[in-house]
Amino acid sequence: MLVSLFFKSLRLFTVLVVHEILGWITSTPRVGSFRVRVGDREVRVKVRDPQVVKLLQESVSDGVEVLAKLKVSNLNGGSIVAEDVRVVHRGMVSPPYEDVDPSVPAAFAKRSYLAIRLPRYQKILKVQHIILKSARRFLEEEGFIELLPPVISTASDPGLRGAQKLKTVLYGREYELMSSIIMFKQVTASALGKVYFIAKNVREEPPENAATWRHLVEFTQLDLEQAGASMEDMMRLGERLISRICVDVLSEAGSIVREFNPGLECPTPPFKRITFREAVQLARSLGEPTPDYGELTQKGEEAISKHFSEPFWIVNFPSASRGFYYLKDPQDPRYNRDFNLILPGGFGEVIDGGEREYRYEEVLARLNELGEDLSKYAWFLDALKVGLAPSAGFGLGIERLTRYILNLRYVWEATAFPKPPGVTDAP
Amino acid sequence: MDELDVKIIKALQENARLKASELARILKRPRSTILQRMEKLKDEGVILGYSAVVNPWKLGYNYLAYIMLRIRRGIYARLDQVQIAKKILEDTSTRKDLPYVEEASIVTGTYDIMLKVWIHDWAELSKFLLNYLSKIEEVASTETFMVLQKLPEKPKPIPPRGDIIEQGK
Repeated sequence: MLVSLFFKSLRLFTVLVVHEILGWITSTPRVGSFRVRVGDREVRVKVRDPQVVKLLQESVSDGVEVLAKLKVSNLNGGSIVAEDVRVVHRGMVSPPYEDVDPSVPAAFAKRSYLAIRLPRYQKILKVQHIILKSARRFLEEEGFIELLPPVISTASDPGLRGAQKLKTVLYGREYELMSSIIMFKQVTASALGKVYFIAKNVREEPPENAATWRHLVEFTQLDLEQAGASMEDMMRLGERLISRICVDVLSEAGSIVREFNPGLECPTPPFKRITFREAVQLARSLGEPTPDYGELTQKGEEAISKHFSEPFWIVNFPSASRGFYYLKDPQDPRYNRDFNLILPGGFGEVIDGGEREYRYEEVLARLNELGEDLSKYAWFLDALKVGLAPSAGFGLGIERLTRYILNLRYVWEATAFPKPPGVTDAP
Repeated sequence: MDELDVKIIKALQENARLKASELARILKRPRSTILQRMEKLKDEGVILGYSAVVNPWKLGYNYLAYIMLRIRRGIYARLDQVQIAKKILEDTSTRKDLPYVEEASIVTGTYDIMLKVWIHDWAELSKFLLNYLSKIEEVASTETFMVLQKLPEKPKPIPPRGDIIEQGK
């Protein structure tokens, strides 16, 4: 249906600005005004001609949203007045915005196409865009090059803290969806020196991890690796990256951050660091039972995170509980040369990284210890035989960083198409 | 400005604590001439003042940043860019919760104002961006450039133009 209307009232003022906008009419027009959503802004548009109102009312009924092209004018910076309204398209049903409730992850994920229409989620995505832009700019300055990540491989990262890998079939052979691109980082850093990927990772998290509010089945990792680097080099780089992203977000989107997280303070590098052993003691002193050589429990990690007011490092995790690709500490092989960056206030881990094992015999021994099928790792074992450079690197969770910067309660608010743990009908 | 003026300026840029009598001895001119010239250079606004050159890094400033501001123009803006620059300079000189803005330059190009900002820590910078700059209605957007290294460490005196020509010969 097409309605073309011209507003013909006599103007006593000079029209200073006339814009054409494409927006969704979200309220039933009444004499006086109606509401239009344009991008992340909802504006009240005045309308004076009762005929325009009548024609609009015929289109905008039953709560359906109507996409319209409007010619609007601003008089001396005052109200926005519709001069001409043209209906472009009309929805069939009223949008069920009441389902866009992040405290109900299944309904929220199913309605992600609706959430992104709302100013709140558009602002979050804009901030995420600045985070990605800032990270890319920083890494470019540091001499890293961006590579495009693979999506499937014969074997992905087996060290997933209780999550499962997803499998698929390619020409009759079992493949895995990338749960992390660790092996690809090692071979590319070996060839190119400093590399990074913005990679999608898929992990079937236990459904109960929905309760942590910080797990997603499909998430995005800024994955970087540098040949010849040490864990100290990477921790310094990680600190500068986090602080830089924070300042860039405040610079470019200060008003959005003020709305979501008015108390945000960008952390000053260098960040505090504690060893895994100290973290275990701390978790216990905070009332969270924690094994000596296992992983920190989700609750333990959260308790420690709440104990700090700035991001901090946990270093030297037990080698038995972590991936085969970490380098054991030559001084004490029970622990790795690795690190996690923990965000304060219960936001938890955002960076996981370390120095990599690059020697064939050592990797083979670790894979055998884990009982992995070696044929799935054949290509990587071949690469190790040819020779890989010692390297270090880390992965930074983009959705988790977005959640922290904007102080979001749920990580599934920090992505356009979330898949929270345990949810099966998300798009 | 003649050759004697240039020599006086250069000597004072090297050491502003030189007395007129010492300058007279170095430049082999009567003390009264030197005094008269110094007075003239001050009156004409060539010499703006005599002050200590301090090291900001020793005064509790740990970071230096250049912050670029894009200013909203038109009917919504109450203040123009010069007024905004003045306001920022004044506020940052009087308020203890803000970093110190040494200079605010109105510039051509993508941005309108360039601030040279001395900062104690990132929390102070965060507050400046979040609770000060982004609250100025006329500021449409900002971009922050952290200084990794400043060269030279001690501010370089600006030589009189004639001196440059002389050196070029």
